[in-house]
Amino acid sequence: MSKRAGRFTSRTLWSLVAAAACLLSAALGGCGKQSEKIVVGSKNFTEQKILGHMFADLIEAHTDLTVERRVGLQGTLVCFNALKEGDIHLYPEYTGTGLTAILEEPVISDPKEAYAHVKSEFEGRWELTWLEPLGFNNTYTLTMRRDQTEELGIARISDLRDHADELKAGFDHEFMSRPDGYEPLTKAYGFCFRHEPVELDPGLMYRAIADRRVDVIDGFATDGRIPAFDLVILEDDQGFFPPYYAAPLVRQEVLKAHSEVADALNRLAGKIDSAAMAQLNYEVDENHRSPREVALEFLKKRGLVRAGNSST
Amino acid sequence: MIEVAQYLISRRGDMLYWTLQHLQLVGIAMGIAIVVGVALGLILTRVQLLATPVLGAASVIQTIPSIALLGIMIPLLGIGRTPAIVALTLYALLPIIRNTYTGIQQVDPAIVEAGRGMGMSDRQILTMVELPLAVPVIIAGIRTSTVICVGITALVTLIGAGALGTPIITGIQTYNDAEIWAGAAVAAGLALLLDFLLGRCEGALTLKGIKATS
Repeated sequence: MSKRAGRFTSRTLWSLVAAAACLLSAALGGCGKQSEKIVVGSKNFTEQKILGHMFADLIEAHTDLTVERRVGLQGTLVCFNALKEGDIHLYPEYTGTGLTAILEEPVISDPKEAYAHVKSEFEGRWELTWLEPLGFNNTYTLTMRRDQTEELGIARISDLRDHADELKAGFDHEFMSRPDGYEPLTKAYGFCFRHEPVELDPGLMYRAIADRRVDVIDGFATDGRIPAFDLVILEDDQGFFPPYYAAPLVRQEVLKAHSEVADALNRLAGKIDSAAMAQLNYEVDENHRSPREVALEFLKKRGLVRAGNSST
Repeated sequence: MIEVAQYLISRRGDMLYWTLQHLQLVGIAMGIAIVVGVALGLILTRVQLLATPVLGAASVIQTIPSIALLGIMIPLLGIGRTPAIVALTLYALLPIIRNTYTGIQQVDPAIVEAGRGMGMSDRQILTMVELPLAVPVIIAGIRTSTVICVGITALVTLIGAGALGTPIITGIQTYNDAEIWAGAAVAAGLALLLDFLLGRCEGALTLKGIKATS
């Protein structure tokens, strides 16, 4: 009896293996037809995933091409190398990252100049092109609780000069050691906090400011926790932080073969400001919605894809 | 390897500062944990009823991931040294309580009986018979706790308490391997050194213990 049962299970196992092999070969076969398929990549954090899905939705809605979504790749270098190798055809990138992390060049603080520079360098070196920027600038910022800024009358970073000695700062480790971080910032603006800033985990930093344990923290301009915790961004009135404007970074061969891809993606040009991006990040990070759903909802609301369009 | 050495040399002032912070946090947390842990362990041998719940509670604390415990501390105790010391102390307790309790439990009842026969008071039995015999086990617990404590202290930089985790976390966030290695190597060295010193203490104290009972 037990022997029969054993044979039965091994037969089931074999049929499962066969089924898996069929599926695998089907999947591989699908990948093989790369010519007519656009592969959209993104890095592995919320904002990148949302943008990746938006790019994919726009191409699906406004061209006849099929799209494969490979959102959530590990970090800048993985994305960039995959793009260079042609494993993906486009992904969202930031001008500041292109300049400092990929080209390994010093910061250019004028946003237009930075964009023009990365665009010409990337085209010359790798035949990759930067399409129109989306509008928001995901740079470092200093943020504070709204009620405290109103109470002290602080709106710009330079306003900290009059109040730095009564405020407690909490910064993450990276910000404390970056060339565009804490020390150069305070030198450029000419203020110093009475106490050395507390170094904190970036996630716990937001808890600490919400619990009034610290008053000023660093952060990214489009972080969803800024609206979530009712924080305000201090205006960088001296233009200290380098610009990190987001734009689609695309292989030129794709644009040559399918100029409609550029037209589709450029519909998004200038359409997302920092507050809007922060709100989208908030929807995913705090309200636990899927990046794909949030991306499509935004596009429909702005009339960038037809409301009836059901992308799959 | 050369980069690590270069980092250690060029940032020696910071490294020294972080190392001293590290030692200080471990020292304070272990000091509290030893007093509280040994006392609790002793109480458990006298009030057996408490043994299971107290050891259970200490085990539960031990299973909470340290990053979670540090996060929970922020609304209660804020950021900086105080929540760090509280968290470190909580983690250090279990091995000390358990080893004190077991160390004294395992003393041969015949020896305790002999002491009583000689007319020793309860207090004399504790200080002259039970504790000296349990010392090696208790110190083994303290050594385990110290090594754990040095390791977890490398995380308290996440809640603003500094120490050797600072170069480690900075290195992780800025892709600087030399910085990670520098912090990790010094922390590991610290753990080995403290373990060695406590081992020497154990030798010294055990000798005295044997003299006292023989």
